[in-house]
Amino acid sequence: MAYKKTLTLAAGLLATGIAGAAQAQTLRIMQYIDAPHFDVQRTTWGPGGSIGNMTQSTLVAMDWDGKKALPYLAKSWDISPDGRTYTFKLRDDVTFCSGKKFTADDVVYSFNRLKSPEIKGPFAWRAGDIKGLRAIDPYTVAYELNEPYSDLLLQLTMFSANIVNKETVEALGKDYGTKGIDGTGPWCLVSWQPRTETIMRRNEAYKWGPSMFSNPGPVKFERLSIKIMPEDSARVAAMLSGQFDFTASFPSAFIPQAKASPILNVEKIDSNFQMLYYGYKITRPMVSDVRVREAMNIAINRAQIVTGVLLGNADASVTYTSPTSLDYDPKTATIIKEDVGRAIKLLDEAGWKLGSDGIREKDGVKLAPKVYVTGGGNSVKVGEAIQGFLRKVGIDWRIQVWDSTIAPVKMAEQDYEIWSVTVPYLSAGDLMSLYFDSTNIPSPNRMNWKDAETDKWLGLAKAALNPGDKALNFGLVQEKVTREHLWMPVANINLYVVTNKKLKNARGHPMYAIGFYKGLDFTP
Amino acid sequence: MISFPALVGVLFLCFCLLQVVPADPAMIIAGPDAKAETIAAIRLELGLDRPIPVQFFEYILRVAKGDLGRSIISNKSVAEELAHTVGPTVELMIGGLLLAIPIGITLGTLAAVKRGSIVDRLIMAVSVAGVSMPIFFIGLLLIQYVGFKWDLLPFTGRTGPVWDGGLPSLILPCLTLGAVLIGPIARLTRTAVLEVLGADFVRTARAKGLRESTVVMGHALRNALIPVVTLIGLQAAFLLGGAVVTETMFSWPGVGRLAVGAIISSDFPTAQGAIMILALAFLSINLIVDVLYVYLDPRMQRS
Repeated sequence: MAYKKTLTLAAGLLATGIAGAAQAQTLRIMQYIDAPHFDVQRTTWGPGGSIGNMTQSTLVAMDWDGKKALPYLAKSWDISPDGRTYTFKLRDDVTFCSGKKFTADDVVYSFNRLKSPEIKGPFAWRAGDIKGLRAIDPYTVAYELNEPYSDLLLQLTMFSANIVNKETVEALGKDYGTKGIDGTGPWCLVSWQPRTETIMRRNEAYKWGPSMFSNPGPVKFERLSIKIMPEDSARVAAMLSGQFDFTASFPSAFIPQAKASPILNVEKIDSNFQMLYYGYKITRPMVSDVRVREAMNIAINRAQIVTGVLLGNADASVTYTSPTSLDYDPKTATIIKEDVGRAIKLLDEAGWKLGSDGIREKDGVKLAPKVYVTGGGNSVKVGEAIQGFLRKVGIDWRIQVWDSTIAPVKMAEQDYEIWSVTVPYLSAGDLMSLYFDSTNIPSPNRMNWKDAETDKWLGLAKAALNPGDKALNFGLVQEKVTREHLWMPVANINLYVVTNKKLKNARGHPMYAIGFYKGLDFTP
Repeated sequence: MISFPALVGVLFLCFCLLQVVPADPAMIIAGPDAKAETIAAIRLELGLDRPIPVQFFEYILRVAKGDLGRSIISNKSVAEELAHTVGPTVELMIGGLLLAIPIGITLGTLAAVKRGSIVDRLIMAVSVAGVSMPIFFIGLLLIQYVGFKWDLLPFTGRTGPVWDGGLPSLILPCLTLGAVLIGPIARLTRTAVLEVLGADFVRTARAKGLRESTVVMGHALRNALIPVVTLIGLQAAFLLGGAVVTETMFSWPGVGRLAVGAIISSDFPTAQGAIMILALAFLSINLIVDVLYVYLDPRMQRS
């Protein structure tokens, strides 16, 4: 009997030891939301893009600074003098998780699929105005554009530009991205239980990591588990109790607790580009006068909003893009100067006189713009703070909060003077091209800003053949739209990655506010 | 028999409500900065441009054939999605009931037997607290103390089926869900048992010299259970609503979370499928309660 008990105890200990070792080799990630599918060419959602970056690879990789494109599947490239043809030399030692060899045909297929009408890739525009792709030989691709696109390399680092395996895509048909994916990334998909957990295994053949990592591959963990935990308090408790190694979904209100924890590291990603702004629809009479827009922009106190409302988890911003973003124009930093006295003067000059109720009016109309915001995000509480500041100068923001289910429809109706969005972006040029080009009216150019000069500069910047010309023209656009006060920039939202101290060499990546990128250097 | 039209009615109402809400799944799929032509193309492909009655009629025809369609967000088969989520929700419901019913009946009976004592007052105070506390608050307390501070039980989602090492991960969600039921059951059991304890047949049983425990358990409790079963039936059906909150708090991969996610993303086929399953569960629970009545009180069969 005693012998049996000893044996059982030993077996139990052995099993615990084996389980512990297996757990030590699993990188445990936590997210608050799951991806609806893993087909990166059909999504704009970060969670799907994150899985895409783990399991697949792009021609070029984004460096830690968020500005530089590094060789990845493409080991080098040439750009034709007219800027219309990029010739990529590909690595010849790359294989998909399925074992298939990666060649130029896969690149051609991937971009053809991204741009095809069947896919309706919402981020297809990031790949430029493609004329066609040609496989010159198995490891050389000619990427031809109808017009030059100076931001192409940076845009090709995005998850939408990941290379897919034609055979898997065609074999799975409509189930591609839900029942399977095949890529050349450091991780291979093992299983997916929607809204619960995704399991991946190490791609043993992977050795083509970009130079930003000290380890070119394979990754140092055998497996990766991504668990979905929608509840804020449960995520905080789970990280504080050491049940996960990495998350970029730690509720920002609890960052001080994470910083105080003896088992957690908190990293603020400096080159995260995510702007919280309020945009003016300038075709509406109430905000068509630039003096009124400027008055609103300078009557608020951003520092107080960041401290009091966003709890310090953002950087106050009077510019449309982060000072650390590519092609940022520093001259724009002096245009919006907070000054309540000047705001009052501007409103008086514009003919908006204070009414008996303290709200300004002109021709019988109250200065009470309709402001549309999506519920659940920062825009609501920040909007309420702005409402308080503006009432002091006689402006009554009428904030309309829409549930996230119906916000897209309501935003599209454009029955507002002002709306708000928090937008992730890659560079100043990326943001300018997307939001201020007149061809993007009514969306995403919801300001309905139609200006020949802006369009000309955007065109020149996109077609620029050297970085100087590109920065100059994007700078001109930034200056003009800032002087026109088309937006009320409020804050760059911070991105934090929280990691368990047992995890060595962990580092957060700035791309599109996702946080996790490949994980090649992560060490148990 | 009345269940079938009720089910079709529920489906029709849900379909109409989802259509009335001014949400457009095409816009959600396309993303906030999509161009108008992209959105229009997606709407066309999803068939969202057709008249609502046509969409509903086609949906009912498909459901009758056993085809619940595909998610318009993920493109996954709805039946497959439901197959993965029904098990965890059933597990949670049964677990919640298995915890709540014996605890509630025991506490209620004890309070009745010890009427007016400190035990009675304590049990009733706990019951009132249970009834008053919202389910998410109970969940938060359990996560914070039992899961995090005392590190007794996992709270980060389902680790597997009960028979395959998943039992520990089931306990906290079940306690959360069951806790809201314990209070009402205990209170009603106390009232019902007190009423029965004063009845003639109980006095006769005592006069026959039976032990007090036999009188209470064998004679009084069975007769007191009829209103309690009614309450359990009603509350069990409403537990489905509680399951939605519990599943979200404990990252439990059930039908409730599926339904909420589908509604948020305007994924009509998935939302319809999940609601249909929840409605079926509601009707089934009511049916089981009706059958139980007959077992507990044969006079019901005759009437």
